[in-house]
Amino acid sequence: MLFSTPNFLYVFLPVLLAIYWIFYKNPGIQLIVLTVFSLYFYAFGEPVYVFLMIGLVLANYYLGKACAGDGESEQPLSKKLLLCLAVAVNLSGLVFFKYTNFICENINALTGLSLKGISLGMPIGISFFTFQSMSYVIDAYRGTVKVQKSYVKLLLYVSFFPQLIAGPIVRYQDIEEQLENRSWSINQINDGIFRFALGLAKKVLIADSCDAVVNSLGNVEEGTFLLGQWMKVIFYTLQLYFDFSGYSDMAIGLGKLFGFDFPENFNYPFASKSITEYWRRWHITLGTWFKDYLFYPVLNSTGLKKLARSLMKKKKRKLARYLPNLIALLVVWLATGIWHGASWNFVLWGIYYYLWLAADMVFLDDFRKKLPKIAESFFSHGIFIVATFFGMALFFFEDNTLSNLGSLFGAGVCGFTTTDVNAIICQNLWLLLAALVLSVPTVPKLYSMAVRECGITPAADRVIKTAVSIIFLGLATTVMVAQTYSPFLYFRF
Amino acid sequence: MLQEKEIIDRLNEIFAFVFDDDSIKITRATTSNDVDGWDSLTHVTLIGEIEEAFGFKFMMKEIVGMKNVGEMIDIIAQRAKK
Repeated sequence: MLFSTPNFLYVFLPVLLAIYWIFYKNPGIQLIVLTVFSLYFYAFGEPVYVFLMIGLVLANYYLGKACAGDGESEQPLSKKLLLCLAVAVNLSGLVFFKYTNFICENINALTGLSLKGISLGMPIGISFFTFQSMSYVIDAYRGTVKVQKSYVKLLLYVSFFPQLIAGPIVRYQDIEEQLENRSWSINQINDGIFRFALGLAKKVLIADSCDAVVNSLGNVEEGTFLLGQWMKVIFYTLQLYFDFSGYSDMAIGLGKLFGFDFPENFNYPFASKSITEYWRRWHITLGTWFKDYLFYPVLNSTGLKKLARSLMKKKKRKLARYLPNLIALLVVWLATGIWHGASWNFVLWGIYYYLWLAADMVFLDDFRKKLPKIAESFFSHGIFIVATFFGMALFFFEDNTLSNLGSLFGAGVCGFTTTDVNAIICQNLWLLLAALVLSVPTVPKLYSMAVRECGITPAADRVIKTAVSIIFLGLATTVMVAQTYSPFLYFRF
Repeated sequence: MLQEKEIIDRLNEIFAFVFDDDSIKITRATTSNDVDGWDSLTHVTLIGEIEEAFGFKFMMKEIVGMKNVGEMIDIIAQRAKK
């Protein structure tokens, strides 16, 4: 079930909210209601794989109990092995469904065998709920969270419908307390509705419109044109941002309606000054997940510590400073690439960003600091825009990646532009401008200025936000009813 | 259990070596802001040297959670094997 469908918005959600708040005096029953509805939400699209998820949580429930540590002393070997088993169980589902065919294809290409692979579809959201389950079991092992004694609560943590399918990747510790006690206030409900309406508008009004432009640019019959190719990447970049951050807004808003606070997933990534900053502002919960569960463990592994020590002994201080970090970062970015999809161009995409991050770490950051302020700003934003553009192009041109990238430099195109391309761009100029302006924090800045200068009271602020919510919901509904199926881009990951 | 004075003296040597500064004087209140070159990149080198010198391993949450040298000393005092 999609958030941006009348079925969800006008049937599933109101019915659930009504039942949920009928039981406001009984948090235990509320949790069961949320769990049942979440499982129904998932089963609506995945009637079979819902059992896979239920089983996976059950495995994590027992393994979490078995390998839990106190956080004070080092864990014995038996618990280390149990943690390895837990990680293996979690990853096996992901690897089987997502990577079997990719692995087979590569083995076939290397050895000349003809392994068949599998013809099963990938369970929707598996990359997300696997990571959530893993975070619980690893944190239990590290002793940073208490073991969850109730299976239903753990199941709800993993399957809770707002964040189940495309994030934010909520960590168990983020909602550990809210599984026990949840606050409720009119303000929180208002904020929740506003946030949801904002996300819905981002998705339905902007992302879907950008999608239509990308499609019509792809259908120009006269061939490929330089301007058309650039515009495709630009509109796709905007689509991806509004689609995915809109989904996160909706998830966070829905969480608030039920008394849960989910972590933020986006912070105006396009206003960044470097690729390093960009990845702290885009899909934040994935970045912090990889940092805590992959980067730090690899960086602090015995091997890399030994490497640092031996370099120090040889007085190679610079290498000792950078090399272990660069190796750990490479592991993370190969994993981030392959997490996004089972194909080599995602690996290439990961390496591409790795090179930028490595450059930031080793010299670009220091170089930026030495520049005068205005030059620094131009230089940083300029490099950032170019770097992001080609990163997105790698992400977008999944097929024939190299020839498509070449076309961005004019290789093999029929010309600069044509009447059809011009017409499409002219028709969508306002969309382009609006999306560009809204992708950086212009509106929040102007609004907070207005609050300061015009003395908007908290009461007036609530009225404004309610009015905006109603307008967004109304507009989005009108578009939704007229529209056919429009899936979220991040569902395939 | 090691005496605090001994831990600080030995730690001071390690800091002087890792950050290449013989004039370094650490106290319980010292944080990464007070030491030139102590950032997230050099942290792993420092941790590796301390673990080797005192014969134990920090846990992940300690590595990312230590706020100052004082907390580091407390952990060493509890767990050091040499």
